Amino acid sequence: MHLVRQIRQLNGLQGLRHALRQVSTAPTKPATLKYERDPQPLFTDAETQKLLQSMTQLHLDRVFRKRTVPDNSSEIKFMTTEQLELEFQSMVEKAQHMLQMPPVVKIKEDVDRIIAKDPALKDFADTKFVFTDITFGRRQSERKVVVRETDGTLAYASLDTTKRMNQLYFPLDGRQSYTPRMFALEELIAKCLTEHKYEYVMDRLLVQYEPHEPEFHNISARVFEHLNESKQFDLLRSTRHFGPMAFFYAWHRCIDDLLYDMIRRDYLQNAVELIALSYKIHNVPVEYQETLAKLDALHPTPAQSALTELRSGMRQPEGQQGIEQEIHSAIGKTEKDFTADEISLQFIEQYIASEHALKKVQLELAVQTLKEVNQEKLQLFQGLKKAHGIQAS
Amino acid sequence: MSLSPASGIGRFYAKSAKIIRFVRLGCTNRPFYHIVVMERRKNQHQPVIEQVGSYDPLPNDHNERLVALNTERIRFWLGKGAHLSTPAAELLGIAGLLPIHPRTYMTAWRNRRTAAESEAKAETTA
Amino acid sequence: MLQRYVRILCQARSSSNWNYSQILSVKQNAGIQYLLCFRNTSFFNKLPAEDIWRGVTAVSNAGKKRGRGKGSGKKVAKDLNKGQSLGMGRNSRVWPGLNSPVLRGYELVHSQKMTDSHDKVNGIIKLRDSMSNFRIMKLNPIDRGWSGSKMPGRSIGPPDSVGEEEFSSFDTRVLENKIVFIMKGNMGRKRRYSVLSVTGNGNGLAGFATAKAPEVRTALRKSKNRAGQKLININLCENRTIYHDFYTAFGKTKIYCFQKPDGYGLICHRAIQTICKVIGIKDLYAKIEGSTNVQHIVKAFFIGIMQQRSYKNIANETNLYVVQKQKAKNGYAEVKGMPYLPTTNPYSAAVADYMHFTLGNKIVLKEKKIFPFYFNSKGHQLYQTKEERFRNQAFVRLHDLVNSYF
Repeated sequence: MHLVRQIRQLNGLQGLRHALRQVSTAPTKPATLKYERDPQPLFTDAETQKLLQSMTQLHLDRVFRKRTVPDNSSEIKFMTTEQLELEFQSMVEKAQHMLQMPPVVKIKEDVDRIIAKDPALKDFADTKFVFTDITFGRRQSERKVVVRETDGTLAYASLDTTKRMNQLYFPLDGRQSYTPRMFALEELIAKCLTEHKYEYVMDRLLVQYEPHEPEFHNISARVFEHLNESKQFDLLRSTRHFGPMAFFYAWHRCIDDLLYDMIRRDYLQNAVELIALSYKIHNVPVEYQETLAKLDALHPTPAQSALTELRSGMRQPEGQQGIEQEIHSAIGKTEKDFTADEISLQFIEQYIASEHALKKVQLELAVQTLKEVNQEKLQLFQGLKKAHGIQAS
Repeated sequence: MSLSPASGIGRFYAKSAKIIRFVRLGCTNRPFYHIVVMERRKNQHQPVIEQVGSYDPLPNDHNERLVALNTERIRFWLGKGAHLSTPAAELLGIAGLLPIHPRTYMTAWRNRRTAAESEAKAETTA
Repeated sequence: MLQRYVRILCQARSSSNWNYSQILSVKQNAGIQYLLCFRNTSFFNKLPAEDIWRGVTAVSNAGKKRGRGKGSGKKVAKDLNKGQSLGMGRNSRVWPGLNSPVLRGYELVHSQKMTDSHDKVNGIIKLRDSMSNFRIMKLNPIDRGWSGSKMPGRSIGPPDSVGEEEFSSFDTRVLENKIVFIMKGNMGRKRRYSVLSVTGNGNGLAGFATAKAPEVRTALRKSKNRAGQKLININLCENRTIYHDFYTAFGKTKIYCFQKPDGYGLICHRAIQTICKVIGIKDLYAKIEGSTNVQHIVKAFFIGIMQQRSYKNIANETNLYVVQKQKAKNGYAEVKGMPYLPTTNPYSAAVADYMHFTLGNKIVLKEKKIFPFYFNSKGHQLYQTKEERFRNQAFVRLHDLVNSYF
């Protein structure tokens, strides 16, 4: 009896709750930076994608980190060397799949598309009818939703209604039929950002909204702006959101903080790629393809380096190669790396000297420090090589 | 034990008359309809041949009445010569899948008439 | 006399607004009549109070033989005489001839009020309460064993130190406590207590031992100390579970143990649970087939965990890589064991199943599920069909409550 009463009370509150929800769906604080023209062609361009993937990097322990899942059991298997090799390759493929970037597209506008008008049908009912086609095997994007208004017009439903109907009849896992409180209340999202839960916010955003929705644009822009201030770029590295983030900074001409972070962490190739990306977006007449090609020849792709890292755990090679690898692991760099560093530093200095760089002093200092450290490492490298009796090639 | 699935478990004869109609589910004071294909002579609560949609006659929070239609299967069964019950035919007409049912026009006309009458009455009294 | 006194006292206690002097006056007025009403030959005045009480509370000889009247929680009748003396009531007065001499020196003592002693009544009430409230020593729920206040499953502390060696971080738990008999030539059936206990430091060091003694306490101590002398070192996987699934047996007891992920807990026989807690194993599933004799379970389990092999040993035995895939890591393959000479035969890995290998090609008996007798009846099917429409109701309601914005 008590339960029934409670339910009745709840039902009574439904209207109030609805009103509250309407209020709370009001967008949170808008971001300052917006894409004014369609970024999609530039983003999906093969060259841009390659640059962004390279910047994202691929650390398997990061991609496959331990998460909370309902079933945390494990499976143990016997494998031969060949099977293990295949397993490694499939793992890298899987990681690449998991790092696929969400597209950056412009906001989709709602267009009225009227199918038929029948004035004789006016007042046939007191409410409008929403018809959803639930034919099996259709994609959400191609599912038709039509609305018959009370005045007799038959039209395609608005984007909002279409999304609502799709979620009702074909619910997506994790997406809610109302705005989650996290995105509805300003203080909650601000709290998430101050706690640096960037990846969580972005993941949830991706589940809840489509990339062409204004909420998606607004909140992702806010996250990136906050990141640019807190400078915790490493939190998004090796996640699917790093590419869109770098693209966002390059588009809005604020790459300097990210660049500084990359130089400080000795990701010089990434720094070059970032500068190249910004040149590409803003059509700056600087030849960057050549430098990139040179670096590509010297550096393995993220997938290759992940594979070699996996294989290195398997078996230690013997002989001279073993010694070289030992030196490599002791210093962290090979001969190729030193040449690559020289090329990239040249390119970066060129950028800093140009009028595009905004935080020149900071960047110059970082480059200087890195140069000194590199010099020391090079000396050590040569000394070690001499000691082991390996001729410089 | 599960209820009969939407794909239907009802047995039917190849040449028997089929009908697309509503099945009233839901409970007291809360109607909810499945739009189904079944043998014409059968009672609505017997196993159906196939469910092809649903209809919620009570408006939701956004003041909409929701209808789901599996248009592909509806067209298939209509092509097979399935009959249509009047409410189902009306609904398909409103959806734009079939021509508008005359009864819908009739309802619309009557609604407009009553509205006009009540308005006139309100004016005379005022 | 006694009965009367008790009745008056009880009345006085039950109604606080009773005028006490009224009772006294009634008693005084009807004094002669009262005495005439009573026969003076009752067992009350023939027997001393002690004997009467024994008659009420004691158990007959036949009952004693059958072991009655020994229970610790038996109801004890209250001795209302305790703490009282004749003539000393609530209204403390001097009654010459009753509680004081009639003559003091040459002076005649009169009935008069003494100094008020309220504490005396309270003292008597307290004494009575303490008599009735016989309490069983209550065990803290944490200290309880498998069943009530019985010994099995209970902790009996660390073993006594030997010389300078202290068992400070150890904990001993009783697994079995039973009476055993042997026949002696001159003494006949001789009764002793046998105790099986397991001790361990919760970090891979454990031992077990059985000991017998004529007293329970001695047997407990002996077995505890003996277990401390028989410690075995056990390697734990990730400091929480076993290295791999294994099969182990002792006598007719067969145990299948399974390695389980973090947070799974101990899902196994209570004896194995207790042993695991003492060793420091936190996640394990074990299924016992055959006899569940505790002594055999303990022995079989210890044999099993001592015979575990490391991943490296397994890899070298089979010449195959041992690879672990965790679902929590989205199927990330970790190489756990590398062989010295990896085999090139592609079929060997396909043939060798890891679980079959570790369980020694044994398979757990899957018992057929027995449904209740009504399961296939028409009525039950009807019930299930009717219930089907409410299958999600509770969940939906809960979800609604959880996600409401209030």
